[in-house]
This record gives sequence, C-alpha cells and structure tokens, in this order.
Amino acid sequence: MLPLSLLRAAQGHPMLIELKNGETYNGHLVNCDTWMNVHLREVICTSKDGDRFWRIPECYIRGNTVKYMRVQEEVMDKAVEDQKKFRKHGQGRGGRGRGGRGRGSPSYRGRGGSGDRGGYRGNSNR
Amino acid sequence: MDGQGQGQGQGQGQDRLANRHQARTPLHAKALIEELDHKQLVVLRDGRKIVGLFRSCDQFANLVFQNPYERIIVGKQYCDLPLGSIYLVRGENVVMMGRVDEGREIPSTLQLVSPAEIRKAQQAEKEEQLIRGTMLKRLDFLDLE
Repeated sequence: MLPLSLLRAAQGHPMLIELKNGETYNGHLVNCDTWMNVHLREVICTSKDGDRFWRIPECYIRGNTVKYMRVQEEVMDKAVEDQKKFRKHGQGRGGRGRGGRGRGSPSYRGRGGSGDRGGYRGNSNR
Repeated sequence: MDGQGQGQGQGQGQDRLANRHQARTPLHAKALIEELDHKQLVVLRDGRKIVGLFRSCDQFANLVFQNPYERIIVGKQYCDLPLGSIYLVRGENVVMMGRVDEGREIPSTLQLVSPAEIRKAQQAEKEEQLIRGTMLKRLDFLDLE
C-alpha cells in the first residue's frame, strides 16, 4: 500500500503533521490530494519550541511544507481494507489497467525506436 | 547490514507490494523495495534519527514506518522516544536509510537515560552551541582562523 493511499485512508481521522519549519499541526484530516496538500479541522498548532499553542478551527497545508505525518494504527487497517475493496470492486478494470500498462511500456519503447529511426533517416538524407 | 543472514528478504515480504513488484521493478526502485518489512534507521534533514519497521514507499521516497521511535543521542547518553504507531515521512526530508542489524547490541559507552534527562541534555547542548556561536560572532573583528 502506497504512502499516499494511507494518507487518503486517514480522512476523517486525527493526525499530527510536522512542517519543515518545526511547527506541528494536530487535527482531523478532512481532505488531501496526491501532492500531500491537506485540509485539517479542529487544529492545534504548536510552535517549534513547543511553548506556544494556537487553536485554529480549520487550516490548509501545502504538501511541500510537510516534514512528516503521524497517524493512528487503525488507519493502516482501513487502508488495507480500502485497497482490497477497490481490487474486488474494479477487478475487471484493474485487469485491463494492468494490461494497458503492460502494452504501454512496449509501445513507449516502440515510439522511442521509431524516433531514433527517424533521426537516423534524417541524417542519411542530409 | 544483514544481520541474521536473511538473504534477499524473499518469503519475508508478506506485504503484497513487495511481491507484486519483485517481477517487474526497474533496478533503481529495487533498492528500496528490498528493504520492505525490515527494521530501518532513517536520518532526516533536521538530524533526527528514526528507527522503525519499514512498511511502504513510493517513487518520491515517501516512507511509511510502523511503531517507530526516535533515538536521541547527546554525548554519551541516549534515549528512545516512541513516535506513535504509523509514521509517514515525506521523501524530501530523508537523508539516508539503512537496515538495522537487530542482533547487534548498543555499545556499552552509551548510557540509556529517561526522556526528561535527554531533553535536558539536548537543551544544554543547544544553549552551549548558542553561546559558542555568539562568542565567535563577538570576536569576529579579531580575524581568528
């Protein structure tokens, strides 16, 4: 299970996020995306030294400022379950998807090959 | 670093991610995937040392650990602070990761102390560095080597 699907599974759960500047944000995850941007509710912000606190009803954190996140054990179980559900639900799609990816890489290689040939032909013309 | 001589971790990778990827993983990604489900030490850019069971990773080297602890070492004292159950590190902040040899013992020169004590020691070290910094700044005009 990928780290970002774990983050997705953490929606609605409490979590702790430390930013690169050392501040920590404690709150419930409302939403997140593949850039690790997160939207938290009922947040308690703690300064780097841990001596000052702020209560914030809602906040949005840009993903690239995150250092790490801490979540509860249950989230891991939920993520595993979500993954299973997704597999069962979209098994046909998954199969096709895999096939597509499989076909995708040779075709990519094929394109690369033809590009080379084109370049070669171009040289011979010159 | 492979303490128990566990080979390549095959048959150990209960995580499906590991099994699924073993067949068709480009070489550059294999290095990380082979470490799945082993205890790892990670050093972050801020100097923290995190030890935990390595559970998952992606192409950005975002890492997931289970039951990790932070090992704080100040001088000859050390302390392991637990960090909850699941810990996700953003890849950008990782400096290095290496497998921990679990059979290996902690050197006898290091002394285990309580979290409170290590915090105090950390604070003292920080203040000392601060003082040293300001002293050097004050003596800047002397053009010391």
